[in-house]
Amino acid sequence: MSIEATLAKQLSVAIVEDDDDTRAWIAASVSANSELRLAAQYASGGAALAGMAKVVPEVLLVDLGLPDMSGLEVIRFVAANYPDCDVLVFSTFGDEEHVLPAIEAGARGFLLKGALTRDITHDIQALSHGGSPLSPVIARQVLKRLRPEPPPLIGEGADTGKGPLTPREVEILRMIARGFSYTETAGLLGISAQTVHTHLKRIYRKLAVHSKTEAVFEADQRRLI
Amino acid sequence: MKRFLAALVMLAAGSAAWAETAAPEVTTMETAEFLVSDAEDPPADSALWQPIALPDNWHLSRPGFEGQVWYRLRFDVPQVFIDAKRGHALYSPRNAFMHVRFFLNGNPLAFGRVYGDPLLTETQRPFLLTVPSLMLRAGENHLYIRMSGHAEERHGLSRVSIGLGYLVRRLYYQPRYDYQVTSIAMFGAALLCAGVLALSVWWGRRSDPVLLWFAIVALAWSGAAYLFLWPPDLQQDSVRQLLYFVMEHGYVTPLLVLCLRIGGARAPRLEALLWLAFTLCCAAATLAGVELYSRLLDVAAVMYLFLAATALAWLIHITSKEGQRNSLFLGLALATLIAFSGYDGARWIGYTDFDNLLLTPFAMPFLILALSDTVVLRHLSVVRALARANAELERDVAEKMREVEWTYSQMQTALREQAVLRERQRIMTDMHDGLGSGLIGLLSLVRSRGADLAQVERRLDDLLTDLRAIVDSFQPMEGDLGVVLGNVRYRMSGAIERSGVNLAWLVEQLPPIEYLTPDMVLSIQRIVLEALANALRHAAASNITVSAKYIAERGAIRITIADDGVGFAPERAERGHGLRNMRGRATKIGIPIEIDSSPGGGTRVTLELGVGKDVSPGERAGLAS
Repeated sequence: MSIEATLAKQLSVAIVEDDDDTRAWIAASVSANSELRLAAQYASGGAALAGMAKVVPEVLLVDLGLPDMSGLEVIRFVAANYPDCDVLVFSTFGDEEHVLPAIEAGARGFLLKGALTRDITHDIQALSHGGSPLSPVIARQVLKRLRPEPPPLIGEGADTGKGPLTPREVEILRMIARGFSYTETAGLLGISAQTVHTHLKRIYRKLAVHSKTEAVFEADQRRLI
Repeated sequence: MKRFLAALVMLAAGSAAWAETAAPEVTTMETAEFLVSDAEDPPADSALWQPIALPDNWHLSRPGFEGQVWYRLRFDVPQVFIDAKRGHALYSPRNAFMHVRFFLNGNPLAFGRVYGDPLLTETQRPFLLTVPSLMLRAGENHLYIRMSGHAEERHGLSRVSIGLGYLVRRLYYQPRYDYQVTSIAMFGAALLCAGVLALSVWWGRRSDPVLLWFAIVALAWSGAAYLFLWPPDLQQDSVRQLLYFVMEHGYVTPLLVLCLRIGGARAPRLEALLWLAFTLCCAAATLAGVELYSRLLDVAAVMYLFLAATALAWLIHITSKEGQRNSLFLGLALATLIAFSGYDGARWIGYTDFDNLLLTPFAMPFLILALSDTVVLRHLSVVRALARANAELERDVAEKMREVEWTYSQMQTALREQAVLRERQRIMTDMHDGLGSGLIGLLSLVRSRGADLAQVERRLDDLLTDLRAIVDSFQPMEGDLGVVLGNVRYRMSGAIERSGVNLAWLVEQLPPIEYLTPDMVLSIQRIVLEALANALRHAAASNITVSAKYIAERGAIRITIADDGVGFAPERAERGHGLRNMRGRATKIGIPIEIDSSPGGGTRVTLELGVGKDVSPGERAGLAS
């Protein structure tokens, strides 16, 4: 979708969160934003999956700690069956332990619980523009997951190109890992911000694929062994 | 094998004495006539020739005599041999004289030596002289022998045989040579090999002195054998006497020491005494005149034989306890040695035939064989004992190693548990001091009903930030300071954006730091947070620069947070809470920190972290200077 078209229309958002207060507050935040539209809110995974059959939002916010199933399962289901729906995962701390599995399951990014309203809506909009928010720690971990060899220590050494990441993608991840913003990264690498976002989307997809591949490979190994 | 050898030796001794009474074409003269005279030519028939039986041992017939004697022997040669022009030969079993010259029918027989040439030294060797048939005549022939010597040295004339050359050679000379010379040479060679072998085995490890003494005995006897067979030409009496003494009795003292060693007895005084006795005897042999030397030899022979017999008897007694085979052989060898030595001693004294073979050289190999059996067995048992001791030692060492490893692993586990406990303690303290007190303070505020919601919200936000910071510190940074700094910016991005300040982010690709523990990460993040917070809140700055670069010359990473704000006076630096906290945190983790500021001149906070594996906190502190 082009930016103009997106701005002209409201983004539909659905929420899956079992804590009533938190859900209420996020729902209020979404509603308060003119560019966002609250499509649905669910208090459990089962309800969400049932609801998806009727209403497919453009953005789905999922909490990991759901009462009836793991949020990861919801993410996986939605990513597999509703490719047009982007999933964002809620995280208390944005720590690697929770975020990376979610991304590997198919989420496109994460939101910090307890962040201010503006940050939430900003992040959701950023997602619609094609970018997913990444923290330096997460970027570092993604780099580690997708690159078997350690990166060169000093200086931007040449990347041998092994592993699923392209040299450009490695560069981007490294800069984000060091704390540069997306715009700064784009500026320093001499590319547009849109290109950076595109790369990041690809990186996310690769991570999901990689984890699936790894899972299949591991299962294979186990069967063989 | 050994029994067979012994039998062979006995047979040889017997047959040697027997061989010379065989062939009829050879005449063995057992009577002669003698005349004591210093004449150079055969004395006339009219001289006072005295009859005498052969062999003529001067020690018995004219004791103490020193000088020259003429002998006249008669023998018949059949006409047939003269006509056939067959070569003849003269044979005598031993060369028992100083100088000798033969005359046949008045004419001198060609002989390699001139009378008066240096002394013959091959006393024990058989003697053979070719007699051309032209010098013989049919019927009676006269053989004149001019001989000089010492009665004390057991000089004299052995039985003389004359006959067809080839027969004399084959039936008399060759067998005697084989028994008396060749066989002893072979034994000598065998003992030389045994001695060298034992020596080389001993040399390798030097652990068993028995091998060394066995080698010495074998080599001493081998040397004696070769001296016996090929004694060097010596003019000087003293040197010759010494040499012969050593040759005959030199091996006995080492033999005694060997027996002691095998038996495992330590008698250093006795050994010293024996060596002293030997040295004294050697000195006596060098200095004594011929007569005294001869007496000395007699005494020494008896004494040493007695000592050897005693030592061997003792050894047999010792080894008989261990097993039959050894002691039986040793006993047989000892008996042989005593018998042969006794036989030779009797001959020396004059009780047995002058011409008989010297038998003692045959006893020695047998003895050495018997001893080698013992020595090898002993050596084997020593080696086995060593191997056992080694194996035991290895087992002990292995056990100790296992103990050490177990202790080490226990220690490692304890250390790990300790580390975990410390970490837990730290987290507890952090939460207690940070979150705990923060929440309590907030609760108090709420209870007092005096706070507005905005204030409560702010405080809760701060507490959540702090909690996030703690969680952050446990995230895997993998030693990358860039991620640590990036994370701080990520957390503060909202606040920074809202403040409207320009942030210049100049963080380079940094080398990993091995010692970046969660504790360090948290402290660094808090310092940087504090510095940024000061810049945002108090400095009223418009530009903040955060830079991090690796300085190769110092082997360290330098982090700088600088702003262009109002700055503060240096005196205030010590009194301000935030600044004191920063310094305190830096000191706690051993990182040098510099805070430069001047009113109106902005503020600059610098941290330096060494990049190196073994950099301890103390060392790190020193890197700044």
